[in-house]
Amino acid sequence: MHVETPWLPGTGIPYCIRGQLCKEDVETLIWMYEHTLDGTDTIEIGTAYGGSAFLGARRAKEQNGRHWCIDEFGRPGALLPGEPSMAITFSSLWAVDVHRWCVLVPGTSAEVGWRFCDDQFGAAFIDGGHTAEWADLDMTFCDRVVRPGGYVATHDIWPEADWRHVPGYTEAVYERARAQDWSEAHRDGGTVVWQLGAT
Amino acid sequence: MSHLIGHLPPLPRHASDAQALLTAGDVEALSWMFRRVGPIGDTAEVGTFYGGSAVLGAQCAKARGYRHWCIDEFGLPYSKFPTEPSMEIAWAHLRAEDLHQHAVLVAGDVETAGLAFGDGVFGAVFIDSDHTPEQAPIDMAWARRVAIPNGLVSLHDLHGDGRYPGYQEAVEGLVGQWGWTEAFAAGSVKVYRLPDGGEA
Repeated sequence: MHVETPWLPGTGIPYCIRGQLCKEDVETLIWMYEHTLDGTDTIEIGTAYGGSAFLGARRAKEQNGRHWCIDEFGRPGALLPGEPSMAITFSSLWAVDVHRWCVLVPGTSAEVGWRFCDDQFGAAFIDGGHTAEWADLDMTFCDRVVRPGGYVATHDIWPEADWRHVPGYTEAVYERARAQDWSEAHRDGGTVVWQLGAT
Repeated sequence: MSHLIGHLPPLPRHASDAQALLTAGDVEALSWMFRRVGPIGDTAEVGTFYGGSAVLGAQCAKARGYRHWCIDEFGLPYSKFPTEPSMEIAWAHLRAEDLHQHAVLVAGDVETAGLAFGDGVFGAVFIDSDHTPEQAPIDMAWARRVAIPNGLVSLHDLHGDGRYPGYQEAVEGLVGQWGWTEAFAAGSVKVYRLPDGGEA
């Protein structure tokens, strides 16, 4: 008997996968992946329990590529040491048969990022540490590994008047985007998609 | 064997001979190699299958706080064994030993997934994929690029009895051509050291 995977109403994510993404975030990430160059891998920083990983892996499966996920995944020294986020993410992706197209990389962009080639990825999603320091590190990393003309989405970017505004982090994201010549390509909810310069 | 492995435990029962296809000599050689990784930290392997060598690599990576990257087709639809549950089984072995946070399972091969890695990013690489004279040079060229100068590269199933026609000849030809030197051998695994400055 075939049973359709139940989906969370209005979010585009299977019910069994937990992601701290609202409907607008999901739609924005889907927009980005639909505009990502065919045949390129994608990457994300900050996976937690795998909601955004599912979206990237689903595209990677269609493309026969990979979605690389960098997260501290509960390692010693992580923000949440001992957290079973890697096991939960793998199980969730396995449950919907996208696990082969997702690469779970334990660490931070500062620890593992230098092992990746330049211009390797068509798009990236940043949802790591929400501080000015991590915004700088993660965006600098993405500027190097995402191909010219590719896309980078940043999560939890809210106006100052909004209660969800993260002081310091938000300003650093805008400042770093300007410095790296990224232009805003799409926005909905708290997720902003930036397009890298063509050169 | 145990005195050579030192602080590392041997392969756990669930990940040993039955599924890992590694003999005691193979384990000895791999343990020798993984213990000698320098400050670059991370290691890699090509050809993971059910995860025996991945457990070894991840044990060493965990002891030093690094990662062991495992490239394998892992049952991808276009692979030699489509839908083979090797990724799930490898994951289970790693998870059972609490090593999953020190292993990275990458589905693909060196010509697809391997492109993502920069030059000189691994301290040691283990090659155990297709044992053919066509595939061995491709895997070895990748290892030569991603391993650090003076790093270590090992290959499996060098039995010297011709059971994989052309494979061992292809390997030894490139070892000589690229100036790799044999650093250790046990079982059917040979460990080679790359020259200083990487590509000779």
